Amino acid sequence: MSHWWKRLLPYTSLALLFVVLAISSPNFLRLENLGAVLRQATVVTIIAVGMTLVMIAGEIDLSVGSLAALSGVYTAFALQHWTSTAAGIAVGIGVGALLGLINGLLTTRFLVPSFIATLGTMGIFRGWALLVTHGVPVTNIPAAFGALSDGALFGVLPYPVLALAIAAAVGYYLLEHTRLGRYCYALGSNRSACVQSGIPARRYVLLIFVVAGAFTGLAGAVETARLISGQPTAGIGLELDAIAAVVIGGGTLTGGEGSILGTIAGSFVMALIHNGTDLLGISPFVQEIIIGAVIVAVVGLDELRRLRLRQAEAAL
Amino acid sequence: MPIPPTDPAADSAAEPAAAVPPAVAIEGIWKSFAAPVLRGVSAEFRPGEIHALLGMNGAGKSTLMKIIAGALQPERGVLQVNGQPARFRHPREALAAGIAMVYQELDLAPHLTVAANLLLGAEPGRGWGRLDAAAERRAARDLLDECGITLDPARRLRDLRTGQRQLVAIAKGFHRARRLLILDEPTSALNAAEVRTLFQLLERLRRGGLAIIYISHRFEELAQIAGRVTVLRNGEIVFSAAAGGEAAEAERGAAHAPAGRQTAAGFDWPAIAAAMVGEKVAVTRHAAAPPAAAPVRYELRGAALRGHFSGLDLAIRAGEAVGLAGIAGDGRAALAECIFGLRRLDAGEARLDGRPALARGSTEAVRQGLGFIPEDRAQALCPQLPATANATLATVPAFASWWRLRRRREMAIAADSLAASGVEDRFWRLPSRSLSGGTQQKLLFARWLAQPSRLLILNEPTRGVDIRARRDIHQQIAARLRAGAAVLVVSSDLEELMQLCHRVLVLRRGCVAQELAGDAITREAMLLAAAPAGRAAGSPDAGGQP
Repeated sequence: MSHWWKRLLPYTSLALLFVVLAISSPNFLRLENLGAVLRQATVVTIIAVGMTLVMIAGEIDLSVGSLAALSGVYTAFALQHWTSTAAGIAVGIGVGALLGLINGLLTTRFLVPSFIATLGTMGIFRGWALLVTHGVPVTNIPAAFGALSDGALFGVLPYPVLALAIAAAVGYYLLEHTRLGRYCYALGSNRSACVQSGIPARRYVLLIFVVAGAFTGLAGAVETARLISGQPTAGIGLELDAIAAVVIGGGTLTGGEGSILGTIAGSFVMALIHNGTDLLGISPFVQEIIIGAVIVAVVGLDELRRLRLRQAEAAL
Repeated sequence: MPIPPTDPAADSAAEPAAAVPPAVAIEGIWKSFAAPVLRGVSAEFRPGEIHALLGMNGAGKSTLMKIIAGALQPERGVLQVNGQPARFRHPREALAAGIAMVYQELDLAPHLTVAANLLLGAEPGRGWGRLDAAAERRAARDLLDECGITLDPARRLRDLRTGQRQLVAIAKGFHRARRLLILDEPTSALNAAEVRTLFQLLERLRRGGLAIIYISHRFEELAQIAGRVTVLRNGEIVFSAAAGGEAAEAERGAAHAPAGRQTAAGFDWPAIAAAMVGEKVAVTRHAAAPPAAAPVRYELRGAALRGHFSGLDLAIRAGEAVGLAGIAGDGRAALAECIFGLRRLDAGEARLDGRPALARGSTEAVRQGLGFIPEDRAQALCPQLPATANATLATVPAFASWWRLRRRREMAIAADSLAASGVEDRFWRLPSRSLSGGTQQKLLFARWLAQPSRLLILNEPTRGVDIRARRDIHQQIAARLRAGAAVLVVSSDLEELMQLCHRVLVLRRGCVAQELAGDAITREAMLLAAAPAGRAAGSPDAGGQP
């Protein structure tokens, strides 16, 4: 069944890419290299998890890059103040959720379409981050926090990867095993059907933005650990990477479709392309072209399949 | 854009003289889809005549119009344009032959100006794709003048009222096709003044020699403008007569009208209603009326919504099905949406089992025990979600919380309600978009079984489903009634109202025109109550103009 094939597309692409790189580059399979790929992909993948919820619900969040930077900056402030790692992470997630609330309120109460609302907050959050830091990175945070980025749980599981694993697990559980997840799919599939079933649609859309903001806030905290400072200019352009990950993973801009596992595969596909082209000595300019082509090809293939499906249904 | 070579002025000058060939004639048109829809239909549409076409749902009106407008091809039969045989493979070819169908507002662009809309696709240019704005405005103004419409061509369409937009749509159709215009229920969204303006426009175009096919069920409006009435039933023409009456009509009648049952006072409306309905087939009424002692389940008093209805009262007892009959645009759908909280009433109060129950939103309505199935199934279904998830959509809190979704519990609820609603289990895991219309409709009934409803509001519950699905759905409704639910049925299928309902309220222009109960619910009674042939709307001003 073709439905099947589509579900597997992100994973088969990932596996294929992995095999090709393993054969063509001797350095690819080395642990340091794979570890670096994972670490680099962490921040955007955590953001993409939140983006998956938003996009399945038929909305979009363009502000995630700025939102991550702003949460990261406040994480750094919190660390300066309390020197506690837990406090830093909690503040990152909390600030992210609050900023997500702003996005959600603009969309559901002021009825600004999320594309426009988050286009606006993308600028607002970035300016806010630059303003509170005077455009200078927030440094001298506890070294222990920075060490998190390089450290590993029991010496095997790098902490950033642990953060990603937790975020992915929480996102997966929310989407597949809670009321919020069910409403995510239903809202994106048909908003009016939800209203006619008595679902408080706007309240849930608001909540979805808050949850996505929390994920992005966590990503901001991870980024602060990685850079050992709160960078107000971090995460520029991340929104497009996150959206691309969701789309490669089977999500659509119209909503109702997508999955956390698909998104993670989509994000890793992009990470492997970056890494592989680096290893093979391909120019970074060409990398951009390849990634762009992959996005268009994956979505194009999917639309083609959909068209065939519709024609087959119409022929019945 | 091709503008056909007909010269309206020459046509109207020639009108009283020798017999003009019909603008469009059809002969022996056959068309079937699963079953025959048109069975040897013949008719003539003459220049300078407004030809009213009537028929119940499924009589074949829209199929016939699509054939004339080139959107469908007949299996047998001949189409003649101006006496010459013609064959249209595409609406473009019909348009080139001067035949256009006016779709309400569908083919207008709200953000463009009146002029841009009128000339869309036929913009005067200056070469290299440059637009000639001045020429466009001039052409639009000429066209509006020719139609006698006083509208500024520079205004944007979205700033116009519905009635004005309707005039623009007709002028646009006239601009493209000057032989035959087909109008489908053009007054359903218009108020009385707008209807008068529309009729003046139609009268003017008619005098110019245009042939017009006018589909409507408003007898009082047809009485004002129609020169001929034809009734289609089960794919056959069962009635056709030209009007007598007014002087202007009589003159035309003498020129063109072949033998037809003519009456001095216009048309014989009871005969037309009888022709639409057909033989009196015994209709089995499904449910026994609830005992008189049954408590009133739902009560609505003094409901009003501007532009739709006012001063409506409604009471439904437990186990009772009440129908709302009427014609398009009479406020029935709006009333159903108000009761379910999708729209707010301007005035009125509601009680459910004696407690105030005017829902301020659908969430509250569902909590109070209301269920709703809309006219358009697609509005209520999540196409990508499986049948099970669609069936449980209104009752998710029963099996899912913030931290847990009990799939087994959901399956149990879904299985119970789907099975009881007659959805076969092989469909349960399929996405709802791949199911047939009848199964989709049953899915919605399952939804309001999973989430039990004390008042079920149904809008066109069996539109577009096959006969078996229709019977199944009617049995579903009967089962709900036996279980003590109150049911409100909005339907334009009069037979369905007869079969299902214990009482029927016939709405006309936002008021209850008549209440029928039991055996008094007949198709003729509902038709005549919904659209009496009286001249309530006033005679058209256009009739008196030279």
